[in-house]
Amino acid sequence: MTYAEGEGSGKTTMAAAKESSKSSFAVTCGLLSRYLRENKGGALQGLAGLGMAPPATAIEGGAFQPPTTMNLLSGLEDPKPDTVDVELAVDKGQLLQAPTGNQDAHQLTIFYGGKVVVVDNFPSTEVKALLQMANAAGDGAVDRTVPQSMPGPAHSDLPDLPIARRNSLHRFLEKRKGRITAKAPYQANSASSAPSKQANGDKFWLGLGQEVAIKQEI
Amino acid sequence: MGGEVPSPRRLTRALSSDSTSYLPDEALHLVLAHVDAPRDREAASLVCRRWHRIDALTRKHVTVGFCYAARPSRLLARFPTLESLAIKGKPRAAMYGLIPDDWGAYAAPWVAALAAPLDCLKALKLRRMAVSDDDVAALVRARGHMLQELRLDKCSGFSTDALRLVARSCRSLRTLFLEECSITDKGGEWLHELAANNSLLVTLNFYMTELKVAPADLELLAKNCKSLLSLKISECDLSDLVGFFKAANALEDFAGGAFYEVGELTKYEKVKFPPRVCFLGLTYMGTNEMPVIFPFSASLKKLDLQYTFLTTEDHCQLISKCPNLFVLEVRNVIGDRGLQVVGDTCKKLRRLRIERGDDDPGLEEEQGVSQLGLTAVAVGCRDLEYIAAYVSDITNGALESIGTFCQNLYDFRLVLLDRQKQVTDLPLDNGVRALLRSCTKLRRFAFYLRPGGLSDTGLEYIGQYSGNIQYMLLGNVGESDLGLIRFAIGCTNLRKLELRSCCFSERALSLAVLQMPSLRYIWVQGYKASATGLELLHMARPFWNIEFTPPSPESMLRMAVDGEPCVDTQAQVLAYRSLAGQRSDCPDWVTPLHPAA
Repeated sequence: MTYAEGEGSGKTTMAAAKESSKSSFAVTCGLLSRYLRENKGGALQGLAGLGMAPPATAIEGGAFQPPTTMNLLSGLEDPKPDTVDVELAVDKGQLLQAPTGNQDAHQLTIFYGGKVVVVDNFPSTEVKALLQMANAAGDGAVDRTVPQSMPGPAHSDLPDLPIARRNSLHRFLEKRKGRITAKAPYQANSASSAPSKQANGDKFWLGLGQEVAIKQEI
Repeated sequence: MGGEVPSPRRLTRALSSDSTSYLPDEALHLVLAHVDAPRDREAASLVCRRWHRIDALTRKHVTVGFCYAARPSRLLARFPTLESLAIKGKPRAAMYGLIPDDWGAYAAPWVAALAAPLDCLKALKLRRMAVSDDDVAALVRARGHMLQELRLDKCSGFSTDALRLVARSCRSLRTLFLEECSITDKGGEWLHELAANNSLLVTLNFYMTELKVAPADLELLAKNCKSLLSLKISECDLSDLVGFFKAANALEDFAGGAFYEVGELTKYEKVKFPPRVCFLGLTYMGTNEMPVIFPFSASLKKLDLQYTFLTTEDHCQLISKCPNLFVLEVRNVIGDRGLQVVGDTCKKLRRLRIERGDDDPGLEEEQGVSQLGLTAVAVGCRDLEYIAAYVSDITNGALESIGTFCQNLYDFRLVLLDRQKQVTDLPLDNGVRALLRSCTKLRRFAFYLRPGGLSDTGLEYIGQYSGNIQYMLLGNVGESDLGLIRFAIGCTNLRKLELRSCCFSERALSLAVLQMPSLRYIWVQGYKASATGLELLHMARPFWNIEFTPPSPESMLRMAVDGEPCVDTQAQVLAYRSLAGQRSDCPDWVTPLHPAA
């Protein structure tokens, strides 16, 4: 669980990546809204009544593209600190911004399954409890990657620049590939016999399986 | 009187430029002759005209940090008795295939203007410059009889004909350095001539070149040059070097060669390295060949494994036998396990470089290096001065540990690779702050991340805690223009900045440059560029050149030095302080920008 509260930011994001926890999270959501209403510290009321937000960008990887319009509780332009309604930022630049209100209460944003909830003045004291509740429900199936909480509108405009490779390394790696294809035996064996050499219990990173290597020009 | 320390006023008069000064010029000459550090020399030359003049006459070495910052004639006028000169050319990005061949940085004007008039010149170093056979010929004609050091580092445009000329004419040569140059190979006679004509050679380096040489010539060189300490060569079967190694008794550094017939150790069993060898870099060395190092691994001070075929396990095994390493260079196949061994074993380590291996998971065993390995190294190797690492994962905690344990760091470079989707702990704001606050000796810093890796706050921290950092490379940092401006406000001592793959606007870049009082050079690729670079003119000012490379798909067709195409179609900006006025030798795809007169 990533919880970031520095001097300037009090953003907390939660996103359940696994579909299986959807229903339990929905239940938790209901509990959450009741809990917050009871505890009164924040300005959140009635999570029901949320309109459908346009689908947020895929949670795993990719450049973050904040939705340009949010249709939660239409008609609200300026977030007002002490209202009881769910506040929302229509302007994408304001989404996930620096804290409004007093020092101890910050904006809380929840991403879930294509919907976004923004809560102003969520007290920092309640965060721990909130996280515990979510943890219990989500059972650790939480996306720890924070990048999507960082508004980077500019990054989406720019094509990705691949990390350039140093010329000397590039030449070496190309030569190595050449040797492997030319002299089939040793190096290929070395790479593929590595698992048997490693059979004595060394860790072998899994999961990066059949990723095709993108040829790096540079 | 007598024995008293002179009062400050008397000292001032003693050192001042008026005619009744107590300190004669000769004395000042002697004093300044002991001042070598470039920054100290810079400061001394600014005290008064007299000191400026005496500095100019006594300074032995000058580095021209960027060849377009000053004219050769100016250098000659100020330092007529210079003995050693170094000039740097193309932007660093050229080492990564990002600068086409015809960009510039020609050695010709410098050689033409300086080779003959600089009577005392005996050492010349050119880095990332375009050098032709004619340039070398001009140099040799003028200085061949006393040239002791010639270093062409990552240069291109000349052939082995130039090397033959050097070999025949420069009988006083101690150092011939050609690492990673692109040289047209017209035959290996140059080495034979060098071996036959020279007996003083100490350093010969043509590592990472494609030159083909005869092992017999290397053996001849070893026999004739008894002081040969360092030899780094291109690919050449190591088993052919048995004779050379027998003859080169004084050798301490060796890199290059190659293991060709792999799988059979017997062929390489005969290879016995000279007794004093303490730096090794063996190309294509694999698991089975590794044992050639074992007999003297404990005396190794520097080890380069970047071009080997060793597995993670091999690294663990080999490094555990090398407790006296000062310098270690590897690819990230070393893995966290290997770095743990480094931390446990290499207590004297000063420099560590972890380069980026192949992205193909079939070829590299472990999937890179992470915060675990870096922390292990930081905790174990407290003397580290230089760390450069391509990591697959990183945490704030690891950065903080590095800051805490490696107080001697003066150069820290981190690149977060983009293969792994999940990174444990972003943004790295707090970690980078902790590291910069702790490492007060840091002078060079590179931080290349991914979107989301560093917020505007984090970027502001970098500026705020930049301290005495003079060079920075930043990639994929910050979220907005505001972050860049805040960063710039903090960087009072930053001299050279490289930015890549950032989200900043042209206007913000200009304004940021204006905030950095010490900045003399900035290179940017990958930002919110306009078609014309017009907003860059906000930073226009006297003695400041701005060169804009517009984004274009045609740049895809341009070739870099080694024949590999440049794939980057993004705009580039290069801006720098210059006393030489606008460049007159720009290629047509570079646009100098200046306000209308």
